Amino acid sequence: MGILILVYFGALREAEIRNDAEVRSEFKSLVDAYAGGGLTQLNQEVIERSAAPGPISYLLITDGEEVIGDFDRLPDEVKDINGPGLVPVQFSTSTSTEDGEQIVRARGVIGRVLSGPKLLIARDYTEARDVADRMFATLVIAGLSSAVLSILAGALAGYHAASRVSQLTKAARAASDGDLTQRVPMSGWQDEFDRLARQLNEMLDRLERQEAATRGAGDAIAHDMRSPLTRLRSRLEEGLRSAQPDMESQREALRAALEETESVLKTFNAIFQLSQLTSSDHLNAQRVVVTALVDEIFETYLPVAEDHHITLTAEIARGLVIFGDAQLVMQAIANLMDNALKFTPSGGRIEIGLRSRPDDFNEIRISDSGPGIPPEDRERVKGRFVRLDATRNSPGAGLGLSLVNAVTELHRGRMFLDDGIDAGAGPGLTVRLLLPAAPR
Amino acid sequence: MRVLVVEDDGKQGPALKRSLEEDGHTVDLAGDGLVGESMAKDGVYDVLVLDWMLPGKTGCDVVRDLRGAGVSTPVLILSAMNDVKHRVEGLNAGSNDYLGKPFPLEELLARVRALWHGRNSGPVTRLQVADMEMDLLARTVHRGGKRIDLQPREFRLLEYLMRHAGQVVTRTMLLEKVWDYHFDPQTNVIDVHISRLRTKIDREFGKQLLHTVRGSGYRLDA
Repeated sequence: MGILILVYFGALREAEIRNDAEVRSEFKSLVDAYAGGGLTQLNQEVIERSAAPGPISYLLITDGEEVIGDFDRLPDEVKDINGPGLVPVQFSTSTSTEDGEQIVRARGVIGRVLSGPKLLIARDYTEARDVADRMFATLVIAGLSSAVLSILAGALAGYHAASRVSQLTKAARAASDGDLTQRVPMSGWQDEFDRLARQLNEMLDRLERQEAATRGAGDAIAHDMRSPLTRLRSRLEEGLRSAQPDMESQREALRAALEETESVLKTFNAIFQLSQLTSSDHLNAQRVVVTALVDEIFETYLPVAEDHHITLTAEIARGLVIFGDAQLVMQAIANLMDNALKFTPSGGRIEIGLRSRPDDFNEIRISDSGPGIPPEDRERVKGRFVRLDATRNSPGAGLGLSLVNAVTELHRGRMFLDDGIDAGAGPGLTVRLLLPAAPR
Repeated sequence: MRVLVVEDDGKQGPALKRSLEEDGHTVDLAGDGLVGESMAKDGVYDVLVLDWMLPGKTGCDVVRDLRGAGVSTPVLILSAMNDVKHRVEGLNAGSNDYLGKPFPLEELLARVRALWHGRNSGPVTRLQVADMEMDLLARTVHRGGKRIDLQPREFRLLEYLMRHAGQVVTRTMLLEKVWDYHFDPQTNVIDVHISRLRTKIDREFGKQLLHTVRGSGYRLDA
């Protein structure tokens, strides 16, 4: 805007300078006429020139107050002069044209011609002003429209940027939440955002590949490590068999190493089984009397609970049938019993229950009086390899609930964790498995 | 006894052969299903150990064809596919036992011995180990003429131990054959039940019959 004002005044000033130069040159030529031909010559020139069409007006006032020229008297805005020299003047005057009365703005000089008669020469300045004004208007319009355009363009670019940024943010947030399948769409504008989007997409591709590779690697490691571990176990077994019977300390060391190897192998087998369960949705399903499975677990674990000084009670509905894999369901229930026994302190209680629900699910429930699992951790422990800090020292516990969850999902069932029995050691834990009942 | 091992793995085959030999058996090794089948048909073996995945012919198909040809030699199938579906398929094909890889060596040795022992276990009505007698029809157990009361599962556990008297029986074998659990509970379920059984059959009698074999399992022995 400042530039516009500068341009406007610059143009105006330019018009004034040209106007003034023209007026002064006219004045000078009349001075020459007066010097050459006296008052008569001057009168003659003024009459001729003011009669001729053009933007310049003339007014000659002689000492005898005789007025010749375009005006019949000195315009109001022009002060009479006495001294020598040219005085710039500006005034408005009305002239009659074909378009009717018109106010004309004039600019010129007034002065005595060689100390003789007073001469006023002014030029119609309206035109020059109009040009500047038109120029100004054009400039203002141009400026305004370019401003509006740039604001619009900015807004558009901003909207574009904002929507692109939100797409980028969405993909990045999804990625940080573990969903690596989201990609940022390309706008095709080949702009910074497309470059950024392309880089983010490439990064996500790489991450996704790596994650798949890592997941695969975990399974592959479990798979590949089994062979050397199996060989290690064979070596230890052979060592144990060939060790001298009198070298009891040597045999003891081998036995201990063998037991460690066994436990690592068991964990690997569990990982392997879990990986197979979670990667397929194939179920070797048959009609299974779930009542018999729960009975079986109760009978098997009752003496174990007694050994732990834990009261194990059961409430098992008769004749309930599910459609599923008996071994897997049994393993899931056994896992829950193992967990309950592991975390319930001596003197505590465990309940095992089976009931039919009105929603066509059979519910297996195991409650203990252990420390329980805080509500905020309950979803997490269903995941793979999750182990709560409190249970870090219990081998195998990390896979237990995830395996139960995998088995439940494979049976199109649901698993719920809630508070259990509060017997002083904490809120306890209740695990409920809802498995679809088989049609009778 | 004479054992035929059919296993194509260049390391595991010889290792199995050596271990079985150390356990007192005479062992032949074949690395191909078809070769193994023709060797088995000679009928000079007491136990066959077949890997499932074999070049030439799978262990499962070998058993099926051997049974079809009237060969009744007890068969143990080894398989990396350690799930119920394959186990059932292996047993349906006519094998007598199924062991998932990887397995502890003791497990294999115990199962080979058990197969040999159990080969003639036709319909028996009485079992006896030292002064302990089991009547399978009356479902009663006596030791030294004194009646021992057992829960149904304790009865089945003791029956299995008596049928394999003198042999090491592993925890996994007990889980599979007595409990029908084809998974590993984290709790020492078997130990607790054995300890209960021991209290009933051994405590009041001077001589201990049910022995713990360290690192392997249990053995019922005079």
